[in-house]
Amino acid sequence: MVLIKFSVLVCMLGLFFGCLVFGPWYARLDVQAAVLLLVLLASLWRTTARETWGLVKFCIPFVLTLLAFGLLFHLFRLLGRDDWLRDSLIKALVFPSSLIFLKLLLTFVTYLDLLRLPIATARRVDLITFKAALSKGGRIMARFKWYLDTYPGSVAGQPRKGALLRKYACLIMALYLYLYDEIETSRRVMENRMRFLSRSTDGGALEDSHPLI
Amino acid sequence: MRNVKIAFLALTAVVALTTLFVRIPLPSRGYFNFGDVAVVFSGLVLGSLGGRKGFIWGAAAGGIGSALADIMGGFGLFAPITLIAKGAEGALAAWAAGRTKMLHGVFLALGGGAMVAVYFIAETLMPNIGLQGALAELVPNLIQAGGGILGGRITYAAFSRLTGGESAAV
Repeated sequence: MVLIKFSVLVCMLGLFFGCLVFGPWYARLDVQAAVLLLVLLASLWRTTARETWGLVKFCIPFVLTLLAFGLLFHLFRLLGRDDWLRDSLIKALVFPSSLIFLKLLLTFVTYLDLLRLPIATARRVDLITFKAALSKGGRIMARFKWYLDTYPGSVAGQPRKGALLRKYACLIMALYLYLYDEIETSRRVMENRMRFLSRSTDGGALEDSHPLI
Repeated sequence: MRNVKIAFLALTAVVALTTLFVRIPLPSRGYFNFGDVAVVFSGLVLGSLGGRKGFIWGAAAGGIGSALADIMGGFGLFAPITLIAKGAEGALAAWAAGRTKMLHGVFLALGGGAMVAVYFIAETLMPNIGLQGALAELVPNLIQAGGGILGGRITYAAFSRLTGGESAAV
């Protein structure tokens, strides 16, 4: 089932990029404008207005720079071309729609889907420990940042760029040392559990009552 | 701190988390993303731990961690380019580990340069970004690369002092 889901997503991705980005409809301004509108509506339906607005906000400065560079190239007739402005206009439509479309597709992929993929047990253990490390790291990072902010050097006056760099260097180090210990411990626990389970399974018991995942 | 696989998993998570959550706004445009500092730091640590295969671990930690951050942050469009660009930066940082001072600097600079070059070439070739977009991204990427090398070296030096020669090159 998971493989079918992934195949459908890959096909949709291929179709979108094959037709609209690398394909025959790339230069069609009307099609690109309609697709952008559709993708925005789909994003509003699938996620939230706030999230969609966040993506649009991310695109605006980049789209404006694209247009500014396009205008500049057009004025200087760079490489002898005189279609820079039209080209930039197409890019200004295609860039946000491809970004939002991919984001939409990725919302359909869950962590459980990855675990259900036909992969080796060792890789599955890696995935589980990595996911655990990410969520633990995300939580602890805010606390580390708070601790570092209470350091007298940061509290007294505005921190300078150098002090900021040192502060975040400490954050990276603390995070690494913490996560290393956490992963080491959780791997040891999982390995023990697997060993226990395989012994129990050999004896014919506990197979279903102690699922690994 | 000697198990390279555990170090790899931890550093990949560190790269993803710092790319996503640690950002310093720049006066000119956008923000300085601390992910590059973590990529260089990961490369240096894994390069010293992983021996001959250190560059593979460095490339994987930098590439996968950063690409994952792109996907989780909603910019999945850049994930394949990021995988290659940050992977190259991580691999060259790993090669820099344990080298003489001059070679160390050369490899780190090459890593930063490779990252900027990969982004520039890939974005130029992408029809939805093109030369216009690639040029617009050039200066922020150069700042990113320079900051990453500086920050990565500072972090690794502090880490070496803290762990007191526990890993091979420390």
